[in-house]
Amino acid sequence: MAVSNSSTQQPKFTEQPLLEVRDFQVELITDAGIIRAVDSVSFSIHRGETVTIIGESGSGKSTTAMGILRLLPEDLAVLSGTVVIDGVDISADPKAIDKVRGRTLALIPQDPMTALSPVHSIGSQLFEAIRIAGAASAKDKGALQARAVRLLEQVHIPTPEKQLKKYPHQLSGGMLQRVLIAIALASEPQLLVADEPTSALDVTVQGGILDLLLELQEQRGIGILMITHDLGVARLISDRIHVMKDGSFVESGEVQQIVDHPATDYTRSLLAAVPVLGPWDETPAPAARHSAATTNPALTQTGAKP
Amino acid sequence: MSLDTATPSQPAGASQVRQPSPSAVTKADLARAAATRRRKAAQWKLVVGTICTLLVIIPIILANVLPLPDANFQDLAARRLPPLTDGHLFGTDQLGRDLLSRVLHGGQVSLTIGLLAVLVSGAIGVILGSAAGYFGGWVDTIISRLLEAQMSLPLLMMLLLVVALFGPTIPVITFVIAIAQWPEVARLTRSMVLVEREKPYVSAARILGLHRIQILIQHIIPNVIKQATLVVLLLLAQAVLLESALSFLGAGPQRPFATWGRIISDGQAYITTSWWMVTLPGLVIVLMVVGVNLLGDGLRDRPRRKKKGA
Amino acid sequence: MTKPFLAVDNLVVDYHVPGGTFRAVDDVSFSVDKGKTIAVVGESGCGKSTIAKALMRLITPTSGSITLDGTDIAAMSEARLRPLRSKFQMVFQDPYGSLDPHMTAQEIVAEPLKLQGIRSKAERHKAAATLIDQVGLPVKSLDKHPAEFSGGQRQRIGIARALASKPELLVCDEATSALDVSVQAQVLRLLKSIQDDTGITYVFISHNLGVVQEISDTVMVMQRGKLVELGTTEAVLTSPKEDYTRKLRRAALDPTTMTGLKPRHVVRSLALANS
Repeated sequence: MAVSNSSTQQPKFTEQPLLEVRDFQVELITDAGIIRAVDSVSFSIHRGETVTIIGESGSGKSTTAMGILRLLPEDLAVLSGTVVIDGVDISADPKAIDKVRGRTLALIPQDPMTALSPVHSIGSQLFEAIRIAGAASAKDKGALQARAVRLLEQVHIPTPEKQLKKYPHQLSGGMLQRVLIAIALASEPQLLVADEPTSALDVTVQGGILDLLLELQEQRGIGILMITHDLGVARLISDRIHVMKDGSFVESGEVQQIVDHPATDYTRSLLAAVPVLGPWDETPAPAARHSAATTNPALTQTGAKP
Repeated sequence: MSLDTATPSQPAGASQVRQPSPSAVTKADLARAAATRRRKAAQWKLVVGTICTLLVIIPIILANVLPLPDANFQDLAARRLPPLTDGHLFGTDQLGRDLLSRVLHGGQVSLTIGLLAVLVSGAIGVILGSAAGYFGGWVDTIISRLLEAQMSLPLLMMLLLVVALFGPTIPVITFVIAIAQWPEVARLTRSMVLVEREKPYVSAARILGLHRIQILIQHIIPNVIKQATLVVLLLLAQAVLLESALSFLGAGPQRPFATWGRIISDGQAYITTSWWMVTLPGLVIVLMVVGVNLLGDGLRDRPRRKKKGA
Repeated sequence: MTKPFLAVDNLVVDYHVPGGTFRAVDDVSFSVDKGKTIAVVGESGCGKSTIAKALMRLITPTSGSITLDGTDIAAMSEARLRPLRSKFQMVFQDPYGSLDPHMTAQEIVAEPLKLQGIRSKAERHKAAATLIDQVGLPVKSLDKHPAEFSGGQRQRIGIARALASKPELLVCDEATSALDVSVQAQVLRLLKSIQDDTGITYVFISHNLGVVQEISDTVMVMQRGKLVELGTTEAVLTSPKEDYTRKLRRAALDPTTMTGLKPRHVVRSLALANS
């Protein structure tokens, strides 16, 4: 049952957080010694809110996400601290993650071009996700198909029945990312972890993916942990931001607070380094409408969708 | 209640410095870490490989100065003595010749042939392989087909044929073993060059106006030579084995050179009565081959230490 | 009216693919005045990298002309082109692949000097030291190998190498795209100061409109091999005429101009699937 949540409303923090991280630490045992990639970070995410960890390369942001999901190789990473997902403490018992990963918690990986098996069709990979989520049994092909089509529709992929038969190399980056989001949604997760989901995509495609994530949040009230280096993406999609540098949070706060009134030099320098584009003339000029690109005439009014 | 660290009201860089949290890495974690296992594996391979290789090579190099009887001195009164009798560490063969001395002097010949052969095959392989990889087109076609044709021929038959045609002299045998081994080096070099060729530093060299040959020699080959050399080292063991096989079959360097294969071949008839005549030279070959292979593996798996920060 | 320093006319580049040819650049024309910067903007597959390769003659255009300071280099043989190559150089996108890993910074920067005929090693070292200083790196870093530098530092070495030939045209192919935002700003400042000092002409390839606004005088927008819009930076970025340019502009997320919490309307118009 969808909970409609107006995007301008602040989520209420009365309930138990979906994700609670306390003093989380990731140490990597490498050839060059022990590296503390994540140095005792703490944060939480509630239903319906997006928390973004923003940082430059080497800051530890992706490692934080992978560490929380326990996707780091066991013979490389040593995790410590507390991670509680929807009430389940997964830090105490390493096997507890299997109950939540892929169910309560789902991952949208970074590079869509390499995140899917190249030798299996989109359909078979979706079916696998649906089966594992327990939404349909392997024998019930009809139910699998119906559910897969439903999922592809939810991510706005046109002609979903045809796409199910295709292979990853036949789809564009943007479509593949939507498929990955559909796979993540197969288990009706409460929390999505998005690790730089748009970094490998073109700008115009990126916008579409971000809109989809916002729409899913509005409709279902899911929480999102977003990892990115792009301040524009962070400003668009977050409720709260943590700025990460060298493994720890240097500043945290509400998104508008961080962007409009940064309190630390590092955040200020990050914002200053983003080239400012400034305002532009957004009124469409009816006379000069050459189409080198395909345009949908119904989009002339900003915000109106057919 | 917010659980976030470093809220906006406490900017970092204020007088309070966060105490670093204690490390959670235990000795057990370190012991089972992949990095530790890799390092230890490379270490013991290097150590064991070096020891085995030196155990064989040093006596061979010193064969002429060690207090050993002459390798060809026949003492018919002391035929087929078992090891450790009368000062013969390895015993004697059917003509009373000291086996250890024969093995060491024979090793000189075998190793020399092996070393020369891998140097020649390494040179041919790297040159042809990189030409095929870099220039592509008909150069690649010709070299690759040649490579494949040769690899599909039964090796030993081919070598015996060449030796039968041109005679079993040391230069012919060296050349023949080199010919046997160049395809492997060439194939590896070609693959590595194909990868390097696409990298932007090669385009940068073209934009500077370097000729293609210059780019190949000054930029591409220096970046593939290290890995190619490692393969060549591993081929040394194979070369020695090939030489032994040829000598065993009678196609090796003729008398008076006593090579390992010849010694084993001579001892065949006495394999049940005087086991040391076949087994001990065989063990020396095994020790050398295993040692060189372990050494090569250890060098390849050694963790690279990255130095950062300019 | 002075003749432009670089004039590209009716450039066409075809690639042979199994099953025919693929037209990567389709009848593109533009020009740049000396000392100015033109930006080539577009998304993946638009042909901007192909234009860079054609300008550098890493590939030979199928047809069209590339007139650099009066000379058409589009169809020249490699032998005739070689002595002219020092006039046009390139800075690459990948800081990790664009430097030969087995050479030191000194050797990398001095290689063009060797080709120019500077025989004395001492002279080359002096010139390399000047160049490395010009790009803001300490002279002692000359003895290090690329693996010992960070991405931004390697990019500076790449710029020093390009400048060693004393080129009049520099093509920057996504030169800042692989860098962190703060490092990107430093490298852009460096490029601008070099242009102020030497009057060098830039062709700046990028997909990032903010970077383009910082550094370029004119902008050309490419889509699927065709030139969509061409004009001054201000005209194209503040009042874009073509639909595709407007789409690109709309998709550029500027954190400082967004208002409200999770302003979905900014991207809603991009929502319909881009196939």
